[in-house]
Amino acid sequence: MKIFNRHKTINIALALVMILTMGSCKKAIFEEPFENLSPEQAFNSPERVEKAAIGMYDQLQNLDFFGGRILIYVDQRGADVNPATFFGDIALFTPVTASNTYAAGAYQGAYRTIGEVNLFLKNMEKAGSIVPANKVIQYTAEAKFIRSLCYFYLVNLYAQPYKFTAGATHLGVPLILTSADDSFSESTMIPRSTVAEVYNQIETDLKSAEVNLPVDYGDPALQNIARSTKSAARALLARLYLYKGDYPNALAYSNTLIGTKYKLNADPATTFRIYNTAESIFSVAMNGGDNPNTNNALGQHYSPSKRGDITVATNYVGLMDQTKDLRFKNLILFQNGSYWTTKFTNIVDWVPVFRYSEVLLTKAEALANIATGVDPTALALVNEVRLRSLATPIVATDKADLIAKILVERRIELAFEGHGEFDFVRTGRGIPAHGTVKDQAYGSDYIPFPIPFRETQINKNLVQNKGY
Amino acid sequence: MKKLLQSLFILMFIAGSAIAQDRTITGTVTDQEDGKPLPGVTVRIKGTKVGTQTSGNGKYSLALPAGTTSIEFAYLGYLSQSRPVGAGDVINVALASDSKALTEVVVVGYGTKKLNEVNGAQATIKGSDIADQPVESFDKALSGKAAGVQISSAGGTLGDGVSIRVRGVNSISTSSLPLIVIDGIPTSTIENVSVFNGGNGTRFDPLALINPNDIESIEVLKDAGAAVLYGSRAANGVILVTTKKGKQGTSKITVSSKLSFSNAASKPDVLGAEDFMTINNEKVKNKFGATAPVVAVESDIDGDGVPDRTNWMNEIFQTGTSYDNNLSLSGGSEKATYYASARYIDQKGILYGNRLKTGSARLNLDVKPKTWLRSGIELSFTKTKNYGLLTDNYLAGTAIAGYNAFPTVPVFNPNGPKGYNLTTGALAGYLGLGNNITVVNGTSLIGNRIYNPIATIDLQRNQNTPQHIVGNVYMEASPIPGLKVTSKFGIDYLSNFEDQYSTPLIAGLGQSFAGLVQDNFLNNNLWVWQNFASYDKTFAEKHRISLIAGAEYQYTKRTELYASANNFADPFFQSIIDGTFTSIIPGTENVNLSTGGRMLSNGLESYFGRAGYTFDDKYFIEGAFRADAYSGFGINNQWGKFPSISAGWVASQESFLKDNKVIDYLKFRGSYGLVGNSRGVGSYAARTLYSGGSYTSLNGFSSSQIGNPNLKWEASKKFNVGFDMNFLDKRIGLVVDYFNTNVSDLILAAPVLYSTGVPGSTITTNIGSMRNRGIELTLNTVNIKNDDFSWSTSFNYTHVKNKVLTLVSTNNNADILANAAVASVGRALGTYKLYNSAGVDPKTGYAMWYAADGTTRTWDQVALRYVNADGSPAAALTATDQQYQEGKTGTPTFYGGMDNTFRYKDFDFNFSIVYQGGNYLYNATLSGLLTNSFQNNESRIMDRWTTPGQNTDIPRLSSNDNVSNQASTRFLEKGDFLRMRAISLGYNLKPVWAEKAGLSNLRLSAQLYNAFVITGYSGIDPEVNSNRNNSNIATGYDNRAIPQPRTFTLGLNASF
Repeated sequence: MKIFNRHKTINIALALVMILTMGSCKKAIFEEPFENLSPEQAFNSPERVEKAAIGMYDQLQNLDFFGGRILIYVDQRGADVNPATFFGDIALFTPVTASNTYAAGAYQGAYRTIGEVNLFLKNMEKAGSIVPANKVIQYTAEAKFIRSLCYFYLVNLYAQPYKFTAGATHLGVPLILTSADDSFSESTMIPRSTVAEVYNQIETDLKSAEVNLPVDYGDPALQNIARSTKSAARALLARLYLYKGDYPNALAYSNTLIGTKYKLNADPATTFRIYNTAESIFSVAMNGGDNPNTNNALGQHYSPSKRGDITVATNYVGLMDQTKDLRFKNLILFQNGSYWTTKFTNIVDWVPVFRYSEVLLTKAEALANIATGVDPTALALVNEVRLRSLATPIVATDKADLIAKILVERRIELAFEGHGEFDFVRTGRGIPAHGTVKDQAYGSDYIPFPIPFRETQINKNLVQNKGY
Repeated sequence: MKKLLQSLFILMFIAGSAIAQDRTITGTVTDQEDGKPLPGVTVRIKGTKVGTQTSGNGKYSLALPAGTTSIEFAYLGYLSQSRPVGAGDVINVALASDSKALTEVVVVGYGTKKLNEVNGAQATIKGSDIADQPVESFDKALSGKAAGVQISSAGGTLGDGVSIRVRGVNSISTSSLPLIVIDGIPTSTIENVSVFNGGNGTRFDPLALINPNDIESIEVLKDAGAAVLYGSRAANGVILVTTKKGKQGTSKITVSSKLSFSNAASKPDVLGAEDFMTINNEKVKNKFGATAPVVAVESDIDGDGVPDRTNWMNEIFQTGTSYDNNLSLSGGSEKATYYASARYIDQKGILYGNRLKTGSARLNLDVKPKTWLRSGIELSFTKTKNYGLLTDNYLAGTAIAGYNAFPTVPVFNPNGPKGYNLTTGALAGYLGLGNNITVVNGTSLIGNRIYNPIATIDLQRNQNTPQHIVGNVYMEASPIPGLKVTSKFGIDYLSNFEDQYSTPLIAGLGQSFAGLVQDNFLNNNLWVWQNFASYDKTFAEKHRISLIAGAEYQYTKRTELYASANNFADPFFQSIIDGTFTSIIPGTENVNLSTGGRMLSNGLESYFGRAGYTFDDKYFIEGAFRADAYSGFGINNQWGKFPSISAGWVASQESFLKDNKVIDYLKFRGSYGLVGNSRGVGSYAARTLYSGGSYTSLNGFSSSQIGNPNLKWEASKKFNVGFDMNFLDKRIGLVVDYFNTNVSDLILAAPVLYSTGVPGSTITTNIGSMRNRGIELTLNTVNIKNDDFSWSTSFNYTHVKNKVLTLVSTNNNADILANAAVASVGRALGTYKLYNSAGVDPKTGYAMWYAADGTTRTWDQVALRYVNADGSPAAALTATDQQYQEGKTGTPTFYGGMDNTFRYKDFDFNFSIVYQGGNYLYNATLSGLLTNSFQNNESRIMDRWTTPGQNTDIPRLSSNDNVSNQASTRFLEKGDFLRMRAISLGYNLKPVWAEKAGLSNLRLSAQLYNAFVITGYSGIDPEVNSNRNNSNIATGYDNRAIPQPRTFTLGLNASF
């Protein structure tokens, strides 16, 4: 019996040993991520910080915003294209509600990019002396340019235009300039700033960026156009002042770009085929690794050889002399009963943001507004743009006629590049009727997109746009 | 040491044998009821432990020492008998089953228990109930079979996932699917092996890789008392699948074969050609005025001289034929048992082009070389080829292209690309629309473009080839009586080759990329090592303790490798073959960067224990505990601790009930415990992460997730009370349970403001709480039972009520939105929030809704704006006008099933019903098929408003008007239904005849599955969910869900 007991003890002991020898093997089965870096790792060397700076541009490619959609939205709500089923009812204005997915997506996409910029600035500051001082200055300027670009489109899309109230005291968008440590905290419940405040912030950021941005990156094929440069900041400043009606400044900043390396290509189509010509000042670049899927590229929506969602309005085509104007002959296609633009034909098209022809027209518009009569330089600038496309030069009877003709020219030249709605409302005009779309008077509640419903539900400090 | 032990046993045996032998008694033990031999009956000399067991044919032989007066026959579940030893050498005995004893053994976590020892809420489903059903995966077959278990099929696409909900929806943002454990090994949590199209393209649920014929039984552990040993994964319930094992003393070969034909039980009722033309011309006339062109006209695209006509429903749906052949071998001796099976099934679905071809094999071996040592291997391999297709989320998908296609154009065109009716030139690769005019005044009428659904399937490829190895090896030693030490190692290895080809002839990817092949290899390797010891001991006859303690480690690693090729030298090449492609994006110099991959791992470390005490088989108390650490959770909260306590009282053992003639068995049970949920939580969910973020050719990284170092398990406090009762000689069995589950620390993808810029605008956080309360009832009755005829019924009912208690307080407890439903504090999860429809204005035919202030808003189709009742301009309807539809959610509040089985001599007949209700479905299929685009419509559009004064609920038609049919209560419908799930008839060849034919059994059967549905729902089927299997909020969303099949099956089953 004693023997048996001893064996029992041994057996139990053995069983326990068997269990206990397993010990904790947590070390073996808990692994660090293979696919990701922690923020500390991502900012622990100058080389890695450079990569994180590039990451801001990766986020600028946000498919709901500067991946191309923002351009589409501004034009869907302009007068040059027909409503596209893909984008719901955004082109019709009145059926849009605060729950609209496109209005929500663009808002989310813009702030996602802004958030990446703010997070980059925060993490770079934490990294301290790891980053060389000159690089800190450069990256900060790049960050500010990207953020300004986003705010510029945001405020124009979600608020009435700058000149809607005297001093632009009407509501703009929330200004978020830092990355919150706690995204649930009360401090994130930021109310909308006025349009003036948003414009001022953009202006301040851009002026600082203009000083600190490089002239170029020594990479004419890509980075000189696809990354923030002094010229890009200046082009945005020129546009900003134009939208404000600050013509002297619009003129001044246009002038900083005229007579430099930029020039018009012989053919207006070239800039949309070869993305790094002297006509392009800043574009969001794309390649076969960025945007190859079905629904997120400009070319997918505009090209009849792709999805072909968006057709060109007959009103737009009617603005041009179809026998002469290369912008009709080389950039408009008539197929299957509809007009199409060929500015965007494939899935890796860059997203054009600033082109030299815009600068020329901005200068023309500024001059025309400053002058008391018909400004001859302004006329010459418009005709420089027209003659490049072999269109007949315009003549103007008086100041008002010249301004009106510059705006038409702007519409012809910059169509489908995200100016449609903005160029009407910033000049105090409503959106004219086109195709099946009814006209939308200047000041209509439905001109600004709604602030997303989800956002107003969470943040009680947010005031919804009138009419939503 | 072991040798010593062995010799000890031998010694004892010899001692036993040393008693003087006198003579030997032989005999056969049979079942009193059916006269069949009973193997494994213990036959022993009364008052001693000396004895033997009956063999496979019920025979025994026992040597009796002198002076033996009687021998005893004992068998689990039967009344023991003792017989005096008389003069004869043969004693035959017929044992009667014991109606009072509940001696059935059920599988529980890390072991087995006698049924009367179970204090928790646990349901058992027999494997034979599963294998009978013509469904791809066993989980689909659980529908209506157990109280508390609700199964919703997403539709009739083969291999599509199934929503399994045990006692309600127990999570908001993360998965509500239960843990599935096969032979003790937790399976991977992959719910869809496909990654392309965001998992919404071709879908395949890996549970379809388990051969239902191999399943012996399924246990559903529903409360904390039953499931707590699965700790952090038990909150959604646990499903234990036990595969078949060989039986001692038998050897059997079974061959079964099934032939099935299935059809869509119901198809959408779309317009025929004439109505289609009338309606679509009316849309245009109403919009553009009388001068508008007639747009919908006759065409003769195929050039056969007559106007083209196509019934697209006949094209996209088919009769699916399947062949299912299964072979199994089983048997065993005293020292070893085996079960092996092989299956090949070729299954064609109800959708054109949908097919599954599956081969699987299994081997379960159990070897017991010593009385104290057991070891076994359970191993299965399955490979499937899934010919999938896009269904509802893509324009080329069958349920979009097929439903929208013009009935006035053909599928084929002899002069078209490869003989199909496809456009060429600009806008190439869509369905050719012949003479129809699709643009008026420069405006396109057709909305989204229409694909040729048949060409899409015929010319393209959309396949999965999953392979699955599930297996385990274990060793169990019992060094002393009552103690068992087990070590078990298991794997669940799942791989999938996903393969898509898109042709340049079809718009979309193929056309854009001049032919595109995309392939993805997925490998998911999970291993588990379990070590545990259990000890059972009875003291002083009445006191019994049972203990278990153990440790478990689980590691999962998932890798994916993605590659694509495009711009092929010739359409002949349709796979990634060296040198046959350039991968240049057509029209550019850009290479389509087409290689990618993923790699992630996670680990789970666990310790568990259970201690039970039983007094006199009357009073039961048990405490159990598990601690889990999961690598995905925040560094501050990696460990979760999950205790439970349960108790039971078998009142029928008390003296006052013991001799009760009515009540055979009555047990009251109760349990309370804490379990967790982590399913669906990613491997690095708690961390703040930077990921690769390149900008064209520039390398970079950008933030991809904002983490939360405090992330932990969802905590589910489960309370359960109930009773099990059998009465009238076990003719009636009743199980009733009440449960209350409070879920707190919900793992919410908690919304943060878009303006924070947080990736995805959510942070996975433990916020919020929710409650599920309900009752369950199971009633089993034997209604009639005599020699030739029997009728038994099994019925179950569950009622469950949900309430969301708190959400993200810093967000003002803002609702979480999903489709037309919300998670909203104080309301049931998934309460609809919609505009209240005010119908159609009989004067104008314009649609009307109620604004938040109760006034009506009318959509003026001409002015294109909202107007008041008097026609004056009104504010637009906006999100604040959407109203909570109180008490209306997509999740059923009651559900259950009923099975009736009749036997008459050699025939059996069964019908099985499932039912559910209390829920509402959002019929987005209908709103979509009432489109004002130039597309085909549902037949209800014929009721559209045409004349002033006409009362109808279908607004006036007007081209491109999306507002009139916008989401509102107009499309919200009750979802109650009763489905005749299966009607089956079987015939068993008389044993005597079978024996003559050299068979031990032959069965012929016929079954009609999904015979009919009784419902008020106007869509194609009330059991749908376009949000697939893992949506907790928008559960009743029908957006072109594929119909359920109706299947007729003929079966033959023979065993030797």
